[in-house]
Amino acid sequence: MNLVFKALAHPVRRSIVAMLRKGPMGSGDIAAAFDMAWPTVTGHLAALKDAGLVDAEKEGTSVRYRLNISAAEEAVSFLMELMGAGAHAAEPKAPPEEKQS
Amino acid sequence: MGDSNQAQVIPPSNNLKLKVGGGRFSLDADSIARAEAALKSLSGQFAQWMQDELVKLDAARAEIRSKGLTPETAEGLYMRAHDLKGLGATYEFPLVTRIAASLCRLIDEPATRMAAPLTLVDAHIDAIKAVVRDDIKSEDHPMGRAISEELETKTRDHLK
Repeated sequence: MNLVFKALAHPVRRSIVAMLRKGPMGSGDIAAAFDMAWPTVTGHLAALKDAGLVDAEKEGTSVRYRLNISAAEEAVSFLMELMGAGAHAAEPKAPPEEKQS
Repeated sequence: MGDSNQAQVIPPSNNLKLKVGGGRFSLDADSIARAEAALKSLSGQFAQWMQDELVKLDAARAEIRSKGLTPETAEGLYMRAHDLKGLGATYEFPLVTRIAASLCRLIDEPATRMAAPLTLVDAHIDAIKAVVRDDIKSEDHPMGRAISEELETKTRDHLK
């Protein structure tokens, strides 16, 4: 649980989890949703992958990320979002819901 | 006229359901309760986890001191600053988030970060360490706030 908590402790990583709830996404599409350099987004994706919260699969030259989250982990994410943990540090260009439409 | 006397039924909004979402990730009370218990038990480790982050921050600074400010060492420092910006508030150090955000601004753009004054970079890192060392957890701490504002001003002046 420590690894999961640490992964979800960063608001950007919770934003990525929220984006992936609607379905798998390519790394490029995820990166495009944030005002962040590519290595920064890659670092966040690696933290989620290390915690087992997402699966990554190669798709051509890109990597596709799929959510792999249990109900308990989802509950932790939900509670941290409610607590607003580090929320003002998140910087998606637009709410993930809007980016997905 | 009879209609005006009829009671209007206003269904309560279910914001919780909106936040949790339905379908695949609908959460039950038991999951929430277990997550709450997990978070409570983990919060005792925040101080250690913050120390772990500071060790990484120091390592990034040491890389810059030994190899100079290169695109790689600058990126390494930026990653650490960006992590602290997100994790600081979670680990109950909102001032760390604020100072790390200022450091991020200072070295945000790969095109301009190489011109960042190392003394100002150092001042940010030392301030973050001081906030944690002195256990300053309130955003309104007079000294903490003064340091944050000064660093933000210097950063803004540099980036003009």
